[in-house]
Amino acid sequence: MHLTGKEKRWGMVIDLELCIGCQSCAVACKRENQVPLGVFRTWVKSVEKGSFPSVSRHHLPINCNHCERPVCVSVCPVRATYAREDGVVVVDPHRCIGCQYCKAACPYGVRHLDPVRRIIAKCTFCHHRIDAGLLPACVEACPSGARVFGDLRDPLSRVSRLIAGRPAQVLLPEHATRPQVFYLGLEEEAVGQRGREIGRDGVSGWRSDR
Amino acid sequence: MEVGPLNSILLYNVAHRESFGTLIALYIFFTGLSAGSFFLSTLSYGFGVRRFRPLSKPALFTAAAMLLAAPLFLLVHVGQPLRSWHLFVFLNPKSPITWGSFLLTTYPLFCLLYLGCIYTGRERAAKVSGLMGIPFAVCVHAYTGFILCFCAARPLWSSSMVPLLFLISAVVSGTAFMILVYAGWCRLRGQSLEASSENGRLLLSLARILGWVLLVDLVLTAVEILVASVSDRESRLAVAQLLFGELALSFLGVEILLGKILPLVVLFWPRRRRTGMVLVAAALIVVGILFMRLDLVRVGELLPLL
Repeated sequence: MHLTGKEKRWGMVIDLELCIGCQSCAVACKRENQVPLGVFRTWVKSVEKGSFPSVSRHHLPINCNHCERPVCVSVCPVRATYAREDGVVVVDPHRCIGCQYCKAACPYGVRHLDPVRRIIAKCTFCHHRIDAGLLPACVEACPSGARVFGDLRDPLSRVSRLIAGRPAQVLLPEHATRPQVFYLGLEEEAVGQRGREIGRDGVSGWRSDR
Repeated sequence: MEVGPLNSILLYNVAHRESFGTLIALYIFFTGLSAGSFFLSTLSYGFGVRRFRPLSKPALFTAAAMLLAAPLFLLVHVGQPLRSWHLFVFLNPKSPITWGSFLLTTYPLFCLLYLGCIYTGRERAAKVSGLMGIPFAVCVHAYTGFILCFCAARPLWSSSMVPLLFLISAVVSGTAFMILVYAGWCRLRGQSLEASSENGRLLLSLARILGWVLLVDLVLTAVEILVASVSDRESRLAVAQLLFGELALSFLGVEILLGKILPLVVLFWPRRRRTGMVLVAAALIVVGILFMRLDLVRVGELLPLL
């Protein structure tokens, strides 16, 4: 990471050993941001691994990674999506034309077309809340404290101490997007398409639009 | 099902609707037809191949008509079509869509200029404007390839083969479409299409070009699929979808068999070069390229990324 300067740099740490897959974050986000029916700004993917009696269940909360090198920003033809000084990647709702190029280019698939406003929407780290000194809704709602939010430029913040003190991963590091959402205890089976391949036989994956 | 620690099943995930669907595939198809017919129209005025002279006007009309139709698909696709003017005011030089906004406005101007020169009979000006239009025709189609290419995480899109494949398939579909248009144009004017007539000979020489370009297209497609099938996990899964999965009928059945192999057999069949068969082959090729656009656009977003 290349974090210099005095501005805050917001980041999130998700401790997957604490996540219980309850989807409280998804619900809190829906309520806070009035996310329409059928689309999600954050959700928890769940996979089951192993065969009886050696089985385990793994959860992966997914939302915008607020990349330091965001692909969505570089492909947006009208510069509607941009990174704020504090690293939060946002969409200007008055400028976006809804061409959905950013949504196709995002390696994490965390953007969607708002079916009501007909523009791109995504996780904003609840910038209206953090600007007022509050925590993002998902962080505040998480009952097990798996989601931690804070300033990555402050070495004493909880996010900084967690990343420095434990093995931390980001999603799909091969795309070199430098995500600002870090995971502790990431299970490989929960990332990628392996689950979907097997899930096709009837165990449900959920497509929001069909 | 696999037994053991590596057995994993998906319990829950969210996959949002695809970003580029049928509308974008149709957009690419129509710009391809436009670019392809533009190349054909320049053969006579630009490069001095005189036997293609009767083709120039219908080809140029087709090029202009297809290019006027193509952006309509974009207007239906975007969420806020009334904000399209943003594309010309808030520019992002890193985005292929920004390149496209200007290509899609300058290229029709070249078409009009070229058409005007042909109709006023100014040979030299027609040659210059035709040749100058070629790079625009190339760019207007190749940029659609770059749009897909810049989605680095999408299997089969993020390949340097895509813009090249798009150019070749533009020439393929444009030539095949022009064969159909020219046959219709002759029929309307009550002219003969017999293989021995002048029109018939023109169609057959177009068919000869078409056969070779189609062969190149088939080889490039095979290379693309072959390399992807030994590439990363996402690419392999995408190739599996094309060959054995959801898209197998559309890819292997329509795009490859009906759209490429069958027409190749017809076009290269020795000593039976009849214009009727050429028209059938051309129609199959146009349908095949349409399915190529649909398959490629669909396969990139078929599998969830996370």
